[in-house]
Amino acid sequence: MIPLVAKAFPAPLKPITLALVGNPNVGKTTLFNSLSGLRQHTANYPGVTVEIKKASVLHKGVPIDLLDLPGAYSLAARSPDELIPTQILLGLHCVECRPDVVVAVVDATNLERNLYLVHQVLEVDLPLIICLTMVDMAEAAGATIRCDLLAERMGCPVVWVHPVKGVGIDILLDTILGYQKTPKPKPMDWPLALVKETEQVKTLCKKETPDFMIRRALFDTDGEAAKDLILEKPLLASALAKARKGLADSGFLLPQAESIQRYEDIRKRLVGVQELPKAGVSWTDRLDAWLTHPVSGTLFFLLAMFLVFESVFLLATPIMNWLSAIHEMLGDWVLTTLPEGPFTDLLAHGIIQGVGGVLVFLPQICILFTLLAILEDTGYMARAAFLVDHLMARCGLSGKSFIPLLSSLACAVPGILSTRVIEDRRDRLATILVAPLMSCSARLPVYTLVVAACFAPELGHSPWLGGVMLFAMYMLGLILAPLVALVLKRTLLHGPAPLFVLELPRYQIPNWKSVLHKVMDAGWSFVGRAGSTILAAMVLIWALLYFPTNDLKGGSYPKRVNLLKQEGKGEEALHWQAIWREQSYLGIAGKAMEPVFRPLGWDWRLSVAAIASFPAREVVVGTLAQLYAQEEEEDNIVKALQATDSPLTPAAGLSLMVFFALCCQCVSTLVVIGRETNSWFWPLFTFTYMTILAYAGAWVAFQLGTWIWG
Amino acid sequence: MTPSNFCSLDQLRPGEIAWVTHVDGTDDLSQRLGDLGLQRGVEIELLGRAPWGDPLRLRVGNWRLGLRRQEAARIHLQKTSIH
Repeated sequence: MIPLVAKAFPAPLKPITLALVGNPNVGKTTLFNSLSGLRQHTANYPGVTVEIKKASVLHKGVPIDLLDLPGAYSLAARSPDELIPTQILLGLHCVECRPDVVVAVVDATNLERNLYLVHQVLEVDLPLIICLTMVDMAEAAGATIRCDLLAERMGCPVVWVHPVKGVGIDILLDTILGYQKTPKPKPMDWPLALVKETEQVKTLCKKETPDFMIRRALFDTDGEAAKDLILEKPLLASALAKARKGLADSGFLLPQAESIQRYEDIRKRLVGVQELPKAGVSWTDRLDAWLTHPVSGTLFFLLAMFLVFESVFLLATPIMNWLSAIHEMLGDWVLTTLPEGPFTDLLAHGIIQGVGGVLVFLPQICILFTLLAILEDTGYMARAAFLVDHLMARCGLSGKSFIPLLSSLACAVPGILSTRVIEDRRDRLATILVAPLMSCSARLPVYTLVVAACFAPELGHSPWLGGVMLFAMYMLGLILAPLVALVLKRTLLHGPAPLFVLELPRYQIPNWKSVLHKVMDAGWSFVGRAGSTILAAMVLIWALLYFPTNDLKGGSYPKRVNLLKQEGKGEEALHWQAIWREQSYLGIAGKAMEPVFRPLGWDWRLSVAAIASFPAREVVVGTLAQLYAQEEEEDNIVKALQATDSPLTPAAGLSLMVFFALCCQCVSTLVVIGRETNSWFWPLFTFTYMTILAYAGAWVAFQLGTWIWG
Repeated sequence: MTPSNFCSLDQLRPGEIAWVTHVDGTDDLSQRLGDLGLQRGVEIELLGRAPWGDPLRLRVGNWRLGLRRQEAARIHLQKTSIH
């Protein structure tokens, strides 16, 4: 019986683990996508911000686990993030197991520079397959490449693929299946001095430490490999320094010696492999002469950015309105059909509102990422970063931070997600931390409400004042974000300036599959991973505004409000609802906090509204409506703000606007910061510094307003 | 007087071609430049400059890159071929 069962269910084959390595812009991600389809997921590791994409595929019945290592020009590592590929390839990583085979993706139009990374990978002692991309472009430019000769010189199989068209993928997969039969890669012979010094250092290391790791520790002065080894054996610090000195004495001058020797070896191996055409003026050069020109390039850049920004506003707004209409309808339907009680209220005001609050960001994320993916895939994104780099360098950032900050004018969530293109960790963090300072579209309702209530021409103000106020609020973020970035880069994120190397890839027509991938990736990382946390926060705020439900005499507020509504006494119902909110936990907290907000010129209603709007700024309008016992319509709230016994003064209005311009009252942003930085420290930090900034700014604004308007 | 045969990369004029003689520095910045193949003998052409004259748009061998003036100043060139 037993053999029969075994026949019917053959033991599952052990999957082949494969790691993809390659330079940036060589089509590595496109290859990964065409190998894996949509079945991929991302892996996060503690303490680092890099994400590694993983996928499992089946080829001819054999399972293959794919690991997409971050694109890099070299395995030299100056940060824990950069050491991860080396650790994985050597089997020293804490989570990932060692791959069985490595596929190196190589741009055929630029063999020499691409083979540098491959040259390092030859030494990790794993079967290697070289996968050439852009062979068609190399041939179109007049180059010829002899794959058989390259394979012989490097000691590994060479296959060529066209990942977009799917050409060669099957051959690549077949080669992967036969990895055990591939010849052994041929690493270069290092000078005797280096071999000796490596041996010397090795005697002090743990026995299983690979030679490659020791060489990395020697090559990268102050690099991460050395730090890693010294952490285990403190004695190594002096041994490494001594070894480096010994190398220098024998003419092996670090840090350049590694690259000089490797490139020399690569050039030797490439003799006869490629026939290079004479470098002529390509049409990318011709286009660049216009698109990176100080005048025409800048004009085109401004036009492109304006179009991106406008389309996000114009296309997303109707969809967002439509989405909020649906979730309001759904909420109303729940309230009218289900029996009243805390559960119904939770469903209508907590969960449906919360889900709506998550989904409302999706149109912006999808539209922005479609446009950004197109800009990136055409190659224009690198030019945009090139054009604004000098401007951004003044605040300690690089040109790559510009687009994420610009996107944050629409919404900080996609803005923060788009910082992934910034390779330098500190630059990326600084950009993430200041992105929420840009005035996003959710602040607009607050601004327009205050402008209508305090600075309207009917109140005797100049008709220009409203516009000036709005402009000032936007300028506040635009000026403060670079300043804060500068302060951060000088203090908390202090460190050596990263090398700004911006590869300007060839212009090409974007591939819709790759665009779709990027959009889905961004959408999913928001909804799938941040969504649940946002929802939980929304439900918590709901509970704080809902409970306690009973007044001092034991009467129930929800019952009373419902009864009044059924009797058609709408105004009275709203009045009681306001009292109910006032004595809720959040209301009590707001009242207790009133003295804190008094220097800003706020009464308790504004204090409660500001605190209640913690999950999302735009909630402040709705909360004010509830507190002033009005229907949620701007005109009514404006009237209420003007007519109550203590109307909102222009000074208090200004301070409210400034507070909302600078605070980080947005759970979604904070959760996304947490996800992207892989830590809870940074969202807390962002919330704290922005709240302090907002409070100080609002105080100044109130003093200024009192001085101007009395 | 004939212009000097030697200059650093940030002094190159648009359209000029030159060859790298050496790269200054022993920090990781010079290592990174070396990893990218910016080392002795490599042919470089200045294709253009961004607004405010920085960064520079270069052709190195047969690829294109943007590099800031500050870093370009470390790369020393000679205008007649090394080969």
